[in-house]
Amino acid sequence: MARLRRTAAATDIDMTPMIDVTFQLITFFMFTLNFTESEQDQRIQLPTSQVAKPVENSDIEPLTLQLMDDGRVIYNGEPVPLESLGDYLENEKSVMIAADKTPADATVVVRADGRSRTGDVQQIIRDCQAKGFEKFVLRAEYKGP
Amino acid sequence: MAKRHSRLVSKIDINMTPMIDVVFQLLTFFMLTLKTVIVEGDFNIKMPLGAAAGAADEIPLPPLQVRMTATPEGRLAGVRLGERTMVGQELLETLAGTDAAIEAALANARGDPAGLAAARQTRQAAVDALVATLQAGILDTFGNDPAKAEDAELELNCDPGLKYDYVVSAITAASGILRGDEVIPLIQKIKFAPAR
Repeated sequence: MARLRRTAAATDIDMTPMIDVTFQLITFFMFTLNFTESEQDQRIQLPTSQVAKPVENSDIEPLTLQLMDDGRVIYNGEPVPLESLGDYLENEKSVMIAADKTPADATVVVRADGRSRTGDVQQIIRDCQAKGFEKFVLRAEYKGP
Repeated sequence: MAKRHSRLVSKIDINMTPMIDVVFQLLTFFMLTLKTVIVEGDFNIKMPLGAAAGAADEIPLPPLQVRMTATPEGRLAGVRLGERTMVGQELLETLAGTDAAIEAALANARGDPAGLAAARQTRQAAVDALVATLQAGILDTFGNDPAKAEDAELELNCDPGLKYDYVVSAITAASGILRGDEVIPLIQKIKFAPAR
């Protein structure tokens, strides 16, 4: 042990290049870190499309509903059955009204799994319509040409 | 100057270990929090409740109807544009066959990566063919003039059991033509038919 320390002191490695590289790496990873609360969920496999428009960011926080292939909806990170979605939407609506907004202003982002049933997607849209939401966005994975 | 500087450095001999420790900690943290983000895109759908059908002075054109039927397994059984049947039996069978192959390959715990990749490729080609066929039909309806399609409306009437993948393919076909890198917009108003 003592011998090891002695050799290290004796050789005296130049650390500068390594530290340079390490800082470069840190800077790279710091800049690529995105703080945006990414809603991308491993449980959802979005269908792919070549012509989907780039995602627009509106000033009002959109309501994201994610439909899994088994028909459950991920709401606030938790899977809930489709039948009880209405209750959660009612909450969402009252929060919006408390903040002086109406559901008609908000966009509902539907991130549905490609393997899910179309009827379920339509059911989500109907449930949202019943609470007064009007603008819907179907999200797909963009696959360039 | 250089002489004095070098002498100073050799004399003080800073201990680098703590700094390197911290730097590596930081590096590890940022590396592990790295998330690859998939590029996503949107399709707008406007469906206000009780669809007030425009102002009284404009007579809205009847929307273009796309009817998609499904097999009991949720695969595509047929596509109709208005009254016309669009997609041939052969293509439908290819789609259903590759769908089944992909599902089987995914269910297989041991996995067959090569087979899965091949099935995915065949499926992608079949989906592209489906999109192209449907798009040609839609363009034909508007006399091959994409500009005319922009004001039109499309109503999707799908069997509830149909897999959502196919619906997105239909929306892809209807909403834009891909020419090289740019997208020529087609129908902008897409909605689902009300439930019957």
